[in-house]
Amino acid sequence: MSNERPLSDLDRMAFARGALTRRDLLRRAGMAGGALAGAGLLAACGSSSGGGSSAVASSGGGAPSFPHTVSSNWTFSNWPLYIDIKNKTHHPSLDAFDAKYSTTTKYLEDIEDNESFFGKVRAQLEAGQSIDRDIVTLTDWMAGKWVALGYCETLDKSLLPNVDANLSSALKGRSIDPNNDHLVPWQSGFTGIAYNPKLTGRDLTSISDLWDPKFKGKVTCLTEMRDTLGLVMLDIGIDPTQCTVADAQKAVDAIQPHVADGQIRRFTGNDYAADLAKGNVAACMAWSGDVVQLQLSNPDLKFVIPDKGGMIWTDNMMIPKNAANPYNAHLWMNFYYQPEIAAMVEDYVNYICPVNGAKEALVAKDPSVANNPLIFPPQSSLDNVNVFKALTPDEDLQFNQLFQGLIGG
Amino acid sequence: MRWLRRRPAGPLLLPAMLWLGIFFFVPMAFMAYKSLETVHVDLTYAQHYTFNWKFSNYTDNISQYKSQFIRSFLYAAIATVAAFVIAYPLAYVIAFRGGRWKNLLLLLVIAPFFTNYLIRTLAWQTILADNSIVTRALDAVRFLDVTDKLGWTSSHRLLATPFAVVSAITYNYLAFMVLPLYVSLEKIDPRLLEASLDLYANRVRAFLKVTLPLSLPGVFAGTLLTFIPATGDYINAEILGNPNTRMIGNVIQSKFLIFNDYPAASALSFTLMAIMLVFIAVYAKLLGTEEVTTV
Repeated sequence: MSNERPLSDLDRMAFARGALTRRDLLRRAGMAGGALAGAGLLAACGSSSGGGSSAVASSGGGAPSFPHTVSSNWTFSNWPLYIDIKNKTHHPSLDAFDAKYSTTTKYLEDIEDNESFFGKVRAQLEAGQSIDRDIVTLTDWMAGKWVALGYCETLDKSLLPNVDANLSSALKGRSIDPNNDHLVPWQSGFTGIAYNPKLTGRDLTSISDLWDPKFKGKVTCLTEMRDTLGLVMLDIGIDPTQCTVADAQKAVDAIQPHVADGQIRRFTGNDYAADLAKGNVAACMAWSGDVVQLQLSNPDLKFVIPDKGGMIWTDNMMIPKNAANPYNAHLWMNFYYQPEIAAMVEDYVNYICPVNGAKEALVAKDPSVANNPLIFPPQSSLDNVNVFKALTPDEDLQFNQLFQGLIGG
Repeated sequence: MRWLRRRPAGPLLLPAMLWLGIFFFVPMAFMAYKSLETVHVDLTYAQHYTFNWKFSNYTDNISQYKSQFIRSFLYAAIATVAAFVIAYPLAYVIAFRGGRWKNLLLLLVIAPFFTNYLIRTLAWQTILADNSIVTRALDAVRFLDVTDKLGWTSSHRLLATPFAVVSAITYNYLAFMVLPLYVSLEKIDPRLLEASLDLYANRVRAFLKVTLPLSLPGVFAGTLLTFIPATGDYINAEILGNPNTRMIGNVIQSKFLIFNDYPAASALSFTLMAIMLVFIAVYAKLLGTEEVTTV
């Protein structure tokens, strides 16, 4: 894969991803003195900030200690349609894992939206309780938040040799987790436009095309604030890698009229896929891998990265604080980072794979997937995608307020 | 046994009081406290809440979400009236003409409840889809032309319109209307109707003078049981609506779970409850609580 993939460009993007200076500084301050991060941890435990001097596990330090014994069952929370599946109920990669380690994986598809998932488990994390999941899979910015808040366990890298060997270099040294102490990438993906040419009657190339009055009520946008605002910002000439609150306001103002007049049917999570497949929606903001999957049964559907630019993101596996079965979680992460297992998942999921060697493992078995430009993207696509700027907590709040106001409170 | 005669209520009320105390009054007090707090987000994204009698949580949020409040009451009111119009004849038929089918008919009324609320509502997504038989049929008979004109639907579709949201609320709460109506109608002594007919009342007059007044307690209970949860509902608007059909429940849900803005969510919840209490008081007064309590 590394021969085929323009890694230098992915590296460049990784560097762009590294633009979050403020949080970085804080984390380093935390590592050095423990004071700031300690305050954060105390706050996370529900008490007011007291400038504690306690050591903070989340900021690295020694390897965590837990028994290296396989539990008979463990829980993995992921997004819907995000793993290989056979006969509607079986996940061959998980089955292989279960067989190898004599365990039973409880696989939950209960993450539909970063914010609402976090909202659901936040109180337990704050109270220092287990959330009854051993791996959760969250998008960059939310994963970074968990790292900063100390809501995930430090990984024991001695258990993850495959991750060390096969992780795409583009995903190393990301500022949300510079040493990959907490996060193991699951998949990356593009955010762009999906459309049904039968309903649109023409090809779409830009976000402005979504506002064509012909598609009134047949257009959806995403509830992921960074995706929707990012795409619209690019369309109106704002750089989402370094935008301000004023820029967010401009993007919201650009979308508002289309909400008011009913052009935009809904703001959706993954559920736009059903609308697109049923023909309820002619064109929408969409995630590349979903569309590849939809194309299997609806070959007419198309996905484009808007000519003025698309977005890219990564979902990361992480072990929530106080998880009951961290050893199983480590074993799974390491298991997934074998090219042939990653290829099994990739053959079904079709997002961008973080495991080097997966393409090679797939070429013989399924060349159509291995050569799909949405799964192993060409240079031109990678040149045209952006990572949303890392927001400061204050910006985070203001961006969200603007966006929530837009999508109806 | 003397203590039982003297204070029979105490021990009997204990379970309910404990239950409501722990799961209702304590959380309410906590929510009241929360609703007057201020949120700060620190540099690690942790949220902190400080209690400082922040009454502007109420004024700010009420003015910001006025339209969602109004929409919630409007949708709930329409759904309640629609449910009443559908349920009354149904309950009437079951009560007076049901005969040996009574129990089966009642079972059919509650049958949808054997399916999960969310699943039932999700099924409507398919039923009302843009290319579904229902949508195409209603379009063919020009029904959607009319509803488009009225603003209930748009672009000749049903899904993601106010019509879909209100219809689904009506459907989801219908049984709460049917059952109380049935109970009050069922209790009416048929001899009263015979007497009114003997006294030369025609069927319409007999209904208006005897049946309807005697069924008012059911009407009162049914409308409240429908209207109150319908106002706070957010599932239907979430699944079947569009950004312009969002109700106050959607706002409260997103404030609680997406924003983690507990003070705003608590303030909005209290405001909703306060409006509801006033509404019930006025409604009880209008419909006459005496009739309601004597039957």
